[in-house]
Parts: sequence; structure tokens; C-alpha cells
Amino acid sequence: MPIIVNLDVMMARRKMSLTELSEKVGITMANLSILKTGKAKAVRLETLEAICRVLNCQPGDILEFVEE
Amino acid sequence: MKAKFKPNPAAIIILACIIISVTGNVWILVGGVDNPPVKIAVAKILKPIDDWRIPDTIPYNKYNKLKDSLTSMRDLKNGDCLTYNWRKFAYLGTQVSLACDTCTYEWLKRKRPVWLMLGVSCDTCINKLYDGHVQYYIKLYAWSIKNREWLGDDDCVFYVKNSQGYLRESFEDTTKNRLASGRIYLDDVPVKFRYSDKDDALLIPVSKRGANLFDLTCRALVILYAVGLLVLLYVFIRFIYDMSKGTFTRKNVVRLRFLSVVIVSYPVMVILVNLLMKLLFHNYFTEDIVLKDVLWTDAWDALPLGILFSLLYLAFSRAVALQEEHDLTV
Repeated sequence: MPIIVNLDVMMARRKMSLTELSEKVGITMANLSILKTGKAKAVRLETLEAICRVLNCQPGDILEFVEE
Repeated sequence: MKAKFKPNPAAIIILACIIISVTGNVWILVGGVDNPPVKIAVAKILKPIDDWRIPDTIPYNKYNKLKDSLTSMRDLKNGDCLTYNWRKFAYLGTQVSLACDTCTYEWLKRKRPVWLMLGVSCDTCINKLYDGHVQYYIKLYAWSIKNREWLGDDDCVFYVKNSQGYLRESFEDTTKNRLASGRIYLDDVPVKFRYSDKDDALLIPVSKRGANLFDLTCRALVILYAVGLLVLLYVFIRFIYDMSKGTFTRKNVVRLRFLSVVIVSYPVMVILVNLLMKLLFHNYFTEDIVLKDVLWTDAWDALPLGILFSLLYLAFSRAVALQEEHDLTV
């Protein structure tokens, strides 16, 4: 898929672990892992909003379009 | 983005069903209609196939008895007497019977009890017992003689004389003779095959070894069919069991695709195998031999079930895609 999820990059910049993000955002570790590994087929806007709020970033910092 | 062509199996199955039904209907419409053959023939007087005729002035019981003996004699001459059918699978089988166009009714009466007692179990002595008049055939139930309803003055259209099979055919006189033009005449055409009037099946005379080999192939097909049926049953039970858990799984989609493909492909395979018989025994086939409509009607019977499973497959594959999307939405 040409959409790249840069969640791990943002987490590393903010020095935040997956467990901590999971607790703060309020979604399960399993779902976060799906998102982090790029297996996710869709992201709810409310999930994106929560992640951006916790990581203090823009949606464009997490999602990136790369031509295949 | 490049558009990739992905053939949908369910769509292919439905397309195959439509092709079978349309081809079958066209076949029935074109081949099934008994149009009189348009051939030039010269009118000639033919003898009745059987030498003697039963007078209709005699009592009913006696008439029936005579009719039975006449039929028995005709069967003996045609090589279709005291038959043993070995196998019938996918309209294929083998037959062993008495064949003697010079034997008398007394001979038949003498041999009948021995045949009924021993049957074909005594392989080494059978031909000796029946004076070498035992004939082995490959029996093709899917093929029949065209225009067999045309009886003329006889009860049969096929007969054997001096070990040569003949087919009594109808011809239309298309000569320029105004008085004769359009009239239907009968003529005897020599043929290589034999015909079973009782089972309306084509008989291909073969050696005992050939019949045994064909029988062995039929046995293998029957075993394969039985195994296939068990696999189908197992797959169906597993499908029902998985469904009872209330989840749409990719395995069930594969199972449904397998069920629909097998259900549709079985009648197709039967038709193809029977067409292959024509190719194998093309020397015996004439233009008077036609494929029976029952082959198409059987295929037609399997069609709704095939379509049902194809539709279920389509619905399940969509359901699985939706479930996957739901599971992978965060």
C-alpha cells in the first residue's frame, strides 16, 4: 500500500512506548500494533485525533503517501 | 495505478452454467428434432426385418407368448440376448450377451437355463458352453439412434444379418420425378455398431480383454466418484460446523468455491467423457447416432445447486472482506 504509517518514528521522537501511547490514547495494544506495522485497512478520525493530540503532531506526520 | 485483471471464480462458474444451458438448449432444438433425413434414394421394396409376423387374429395369451419369443429371437440375432450389464457410471458400461444370427429358438431355449445358472462366472468354459456365441460390448448409454420412432412395418430399426449390422433408415426421394418427390422410403445401411433396443444404448463390440479393461476403468471412476462424494460431504459438514461458530472465515469461502466448482463440473465432465467416446470409437459412429437429451437435462438439474453455491460463495467472500476490514480498522 502506498500509505506509510510513521507512528514508530513519532513515538521515538516523543520518546514514548507503545504501552504508554495505548494507555493515553485509549485503544488496545493489538490495534496500535496493527497500525504501527502497516496492516491497518482503515483509521477512524477519532483515533487519529487522539494519537495526534497525545503525540502533539499533525496527521501528516503520522501518515505519508509514497508512490509505488 | 495499473488495473489488474482478476478472474472471479464465481463469475466463471455462473458463466459456465449459462454456456451449458444455452448449448444444451441449442443442441436439443437442433439435434433433438426428428427431421426426416434429406437423402436421394431410389424406391425399393424391403423385406420385413423379422421373417415371420404374428397374426393378430390369435388369442391374446398366445399372441403375447409369440411376441416374447419373437423379441427374444430378435435380441439373440442382434447380440442383445440374456445380457449381463457390468457397470453403469456416467452413462458408460459394459455388457456381455449371447449373439447369434443363425441360431434357432430351440437352441436359445436349451441354452437359457445354463446361462441363468452359470451366468458369466465361468470365464474359461463360457464360450465353449455357448458355442462361441458370447459377445462382449462397451455400452454407451448416452448415445442413441436418430429417428428410432420411425418403425415402418417393423418393431425395430436395427438388425443383424450374416454378422453384419444394418440400420433401416428413412430417406426422402428428392429426385425430379414429380410423382415420387417428397415421399419417404426405407433402406438398409450397413453399420459397424450394435444397438440395444431394451436400454436404448449403443453397443461397441470389443474383445473380452477390451471389455475387462473398460470395466476396470469404470470401476476406477466409480471409486473416484465415491471418494469425491465423501470429500464433498466432509467439506459441507465442516462448512456447516464452522458456520455454527458464527464467523466468516476464508476457509469457508474456499470450501464454498470448491463445492460450487465440483457441482458444476461433474455434469460437464460426464458430457466431455461421453463426447470422448465418440472420438475413441469414431469408426463405429455414423451420422445416425445422436447424443441423448437426458445428458443435458441432467446437467440442467445440477445447475440451480451450482448457482446457489456460487452465490453463497460470492456473499461469503464479500462478508469475509468486510469482516477483515472491520478487524483491521483502528
